[in-house]
Amino acid sequence: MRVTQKMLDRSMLGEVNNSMARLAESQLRMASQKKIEKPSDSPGDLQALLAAKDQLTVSAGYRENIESAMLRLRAADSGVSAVYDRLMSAKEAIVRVNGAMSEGARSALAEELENLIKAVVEELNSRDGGEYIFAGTASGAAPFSVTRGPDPDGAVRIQSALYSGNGASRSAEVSATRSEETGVPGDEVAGASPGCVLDTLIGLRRAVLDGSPTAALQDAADAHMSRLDALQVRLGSRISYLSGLKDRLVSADLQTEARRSSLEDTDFTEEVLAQGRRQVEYEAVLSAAARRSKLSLINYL
Amino acid sequence: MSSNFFGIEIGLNALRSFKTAQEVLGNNISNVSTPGYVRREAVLQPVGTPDSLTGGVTVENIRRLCDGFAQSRARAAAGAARQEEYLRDIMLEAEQYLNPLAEGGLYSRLGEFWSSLQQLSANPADGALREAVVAGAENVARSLNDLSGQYSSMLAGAGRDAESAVSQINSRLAEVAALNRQIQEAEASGLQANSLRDQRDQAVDFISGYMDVSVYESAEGFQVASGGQVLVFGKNALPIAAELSGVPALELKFSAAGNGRELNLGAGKLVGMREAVAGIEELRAGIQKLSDALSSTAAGSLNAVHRAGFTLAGNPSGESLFTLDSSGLLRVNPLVSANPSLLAASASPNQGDGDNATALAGALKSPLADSMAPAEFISSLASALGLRAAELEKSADRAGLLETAAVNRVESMSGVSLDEETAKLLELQTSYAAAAKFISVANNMLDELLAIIR
Repeated sequence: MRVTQKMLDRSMLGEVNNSMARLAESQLRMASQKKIEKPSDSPGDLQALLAAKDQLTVSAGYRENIESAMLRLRAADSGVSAVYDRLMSAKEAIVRVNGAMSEGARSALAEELENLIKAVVEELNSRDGGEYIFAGTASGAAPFSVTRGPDPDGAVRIQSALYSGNGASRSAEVSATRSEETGVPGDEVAGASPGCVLDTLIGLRRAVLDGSPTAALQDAADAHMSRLDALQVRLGSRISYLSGLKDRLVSADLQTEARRSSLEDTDFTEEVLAQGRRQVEYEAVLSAAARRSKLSLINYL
Repeated sequence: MSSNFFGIEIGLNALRSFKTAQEVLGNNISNVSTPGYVRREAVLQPVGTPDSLTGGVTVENIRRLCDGFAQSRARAAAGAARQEEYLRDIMLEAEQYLNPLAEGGLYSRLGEFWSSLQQLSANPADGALREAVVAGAENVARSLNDLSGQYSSMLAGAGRDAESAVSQINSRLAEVAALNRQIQEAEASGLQANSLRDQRDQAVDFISGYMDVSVYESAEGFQVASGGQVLVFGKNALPIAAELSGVPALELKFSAAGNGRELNLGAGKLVGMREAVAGIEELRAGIQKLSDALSSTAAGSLNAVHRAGFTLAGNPSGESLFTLDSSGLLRVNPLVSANPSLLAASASPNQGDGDNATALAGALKSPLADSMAPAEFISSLASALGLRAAELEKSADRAGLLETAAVNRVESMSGVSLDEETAKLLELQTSYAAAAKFISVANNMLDELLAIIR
């Protein structure tokens, strides 16, 4: 085959262009640190890469739900613990009651119990992020409302409490197959009415003022404390389960991230070496092209 | 009997012939880089009969050196290469818009929307999270509409490309017809028409990049046919036309403008354009299918789940989340968009109930279009597109290599080699000097003869 000037020029330009394109490709991969930037870069790996990325997104969503659930459960745990403490304080206060107590001393003790009742109501109506923790799913309004009236000593105090939340628990998806309850309805914390924590405390206050026996009410308070103990254990166990689930997700994410990285990310060291090679190759092609263009008989003559 | 001056005449003919041959070589060297130039060669022939070569040598004609078969192969290869390149470029552009790996694309917007629904399910009364869900839904709608708009504009671009190509092809078809006439006239009056032939070949080469042409040379000049239709016959050219139309899917058709007959093109850039339009239409239909699925109110759809839910105020929603406007664009329900508290995140009138947000997130991951979830549908479209684009990159490279090989074959016959031309030039210079010497010797002999006679 005759080799003509244009064939040589075309071949030379083709080599220079190809070499430059390879160099540019390598530089792009170094700059973006990604070996797959679009589906056509590696169609066979696309589905696996998207699956890994999806899994990371989904997992991040579940982790956020878990964190949010744990915060809410901790707030509930703290509220339950506070109610327990108030019951304990009430029981300690009742111990001071005896037949020789003056009316003034009884009124003072009743006032102390009233303050504990108010504190319990406050705990049961506590909010997290603007929502009532112990309202079930009816979290837009305070779940416990109270009515006040005069006591035998003439002071106006809380006479009854009403739970207006619902018995449903809020829940959140924490995995593809599982939803977890993220709260405790108020009636579960306070107990069923009549005879709830607030009714018991109000009864104790009245007994102190009346001088009537408190043994049955103290038993009721003990029963509430046992129930709250059990509830705290349940909440603790739920928090612990979610914490473990979160750790498992984090661990699974590490593996998924490794898979994603192996599919998508550039091996930087390898790419630096490849870029160096391509730079040398490009310079060699340029130099060869420059030298070749002088190798003509007409130039020689 | 020969004249006494026949020796000088032989030398003179040789001088003239070698001078012409040197001029032809000079012309070749000057045009070494001229596009479409076909090298020439002076054809020398003896003067006189074989028994009595009394006239020496003369230039019979100046021949263009070209291989018709190689030329037709090169034209076919060029058409295939332009077709693959055009299709590759369009598919790579389409891929950029749909790229599920790009930040801010439809795929990532769907992921963000799902995440925002998940977050809302945990805190359904949170105003900021409601805003985030509405923003996520609006981003999904905007991305889908943008994608559809980008594909529509690519279709319009392909239509404009086709019109521009057809206009250039028509101009070249007219040029071939005009050159047929000029060549015929020049050669009838005994002139060389090699430059005109170069121009005509170049015009046909240009056309063959766009459409597969068959060229037949008759006494009338080139007859150019494509897609079952003769487009140039002698001095007459038949222009072609492009039309982008069709319902519901657009189609690009090419026809002969004179008789309206559709051209059945086999290869070339015009075929690439036609296939590109079909490919983009397919993508646009896919995007529309997803818009339809998101705006559907069928059981199990996103809208059906939303309509069954309750607003923040505890009222039954009854409203769709996504709707299609009069121009077919996907929109977030303007009521929900203006007031995110109307987002139906609850499955009951209680505002702490985020079950409907969970159900919405679930619906987004459930089959909606072609038995696939929206993100899955997009990834499947992108995967098929990526596969096609990657294959086109390879086939365009292959077609480019085949074209280079075919052009090199043409070049090996028609191209100018400076080394070869220089060697020939040296040979002709020596021959020219020899002819000059021959005249000088003949002249001396004649002088000697005259001196003897005197």
